[in-house]
Amino acid sequence: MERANTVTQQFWDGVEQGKLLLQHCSACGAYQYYARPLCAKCHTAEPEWREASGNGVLYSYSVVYRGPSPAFQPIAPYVTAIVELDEGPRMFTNIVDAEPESLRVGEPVSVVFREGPEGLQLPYFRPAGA
Amino acid sequence: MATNPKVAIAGVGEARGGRATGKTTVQLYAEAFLDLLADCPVDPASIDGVLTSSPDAEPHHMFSTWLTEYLGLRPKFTSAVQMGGATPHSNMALAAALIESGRCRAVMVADGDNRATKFSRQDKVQAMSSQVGHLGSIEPPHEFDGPYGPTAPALYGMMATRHMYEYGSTPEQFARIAVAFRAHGALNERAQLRKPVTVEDVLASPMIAWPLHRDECALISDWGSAILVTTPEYANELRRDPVYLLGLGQAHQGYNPYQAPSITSFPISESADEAFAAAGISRDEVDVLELYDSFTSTAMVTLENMGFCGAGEGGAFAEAGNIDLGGSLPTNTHGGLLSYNGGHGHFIVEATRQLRGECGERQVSGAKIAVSQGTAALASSSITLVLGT
Repeated sequence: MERANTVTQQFWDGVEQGKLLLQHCSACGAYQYYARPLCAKCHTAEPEWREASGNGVLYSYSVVYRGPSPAFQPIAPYVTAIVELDEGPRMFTNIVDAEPESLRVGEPVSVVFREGPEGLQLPYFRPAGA
Repeated sequence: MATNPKVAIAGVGEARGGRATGKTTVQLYAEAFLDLLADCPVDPASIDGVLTSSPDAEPHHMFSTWLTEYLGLRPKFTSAVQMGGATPHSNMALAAALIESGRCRAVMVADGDNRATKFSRQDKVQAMSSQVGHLGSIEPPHEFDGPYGPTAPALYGMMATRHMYEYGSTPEQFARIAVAFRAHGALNERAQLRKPVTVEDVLASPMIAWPLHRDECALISDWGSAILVTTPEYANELRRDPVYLLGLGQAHQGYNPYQAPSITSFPISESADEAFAAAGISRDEVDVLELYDSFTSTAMVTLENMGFCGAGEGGAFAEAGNIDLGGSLPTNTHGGLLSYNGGHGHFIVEATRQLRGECGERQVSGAKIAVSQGTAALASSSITLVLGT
């Protein structure tokens, strides 16, 4: 599958190299996720790319018992989550390396790169220190 | 109350939907249209606006133009809107603009989908996720969430999780909302689920996406609905008891849950404030509320964001019986998406029928003001309609 396009190529190249990249607007200083050809805050064109710390907190989560496609049925239950990065933007992701019952909203998490159930290299998050 | 309403509802209709009927989507639309004609003696040739959804289960290019051909209508304005569960509410706002501007005199707001029929041979969670929300897709433009296996219940489950974190709300409180709407559906002979349930029953139903159980998730249904929106003058020619649009409000902040500033506080408050101000009413004048209840979390947050109770108080508000028939704010009197039918236009149909006093056992006595609240994209899109007699 071709997941990258001219706007998102650098993000996915970063993922392949184990780097989490965010767009940063040189005009207003805002970080943003996901990749766009403009800053959605101040509408300046072509934000630059910066490597993120990879650290954040668990904003919210759900434990999925019924997955959306055959690839996800065998791995259920799994945790979908929104993580708020230290730089500000939030990402949709999965929490890995943790028992769902042990998760707490607000707990620190950090990025880890893995191959997903569909064979794609992806940024995931796990509890900090796990 | 607004002293001089400019827009009226002259009639409503519904298809015989519910569980898999074997009907096509346009067939459901046609049934709703015929039911509308039975409700209201409008000459079909005078319908000069036709607004529809853009159906999910049976998509069709330029759907609204195909529907006009199928029904034998020749409007001067037509459009197929895609606003998720708030599509009929969005079309009501568009219809109101067409009527108020004088561009149209009689606009049919129609809605329908045959999800139960089309999805009956598939895993319904998979089908709803991949065909309605495209949540199973990992290809652009879904490459930033699809690869993580999102489902609709998971997204609204995250809403519930965050609500529990911020306010200490409990699974029992979310379940209490499902209990109320099922009790209302039990009184509605057309409801898909009519067996009353207890909080314990809801919490014992299978876990779909923690913390949401099966009985907290919207039904998957076949449905069709049709609403005739017109001028007050024409509505009064057509029937003795038209319902008036007293106020409407809208607010939209985006699509993806992880882009929303909050997943417990949405622009619902803005659209409700706008609608109540336009109608010139206060919240305690609302006799009946029909709100989009895709999940119990949606209903909890909507009650709070609309200002019927404070932030974090939705659970206690429900537990005190306020949203029950006989309570201070009877809500989803037909049973809602959780009990009546998973279709989107029924909230407005039910609000209209409540104001016309036609609802039998589930009738709110003397209802004068009914509010229909549509939300979509978690609740990042919000449309509030205040209707009155």
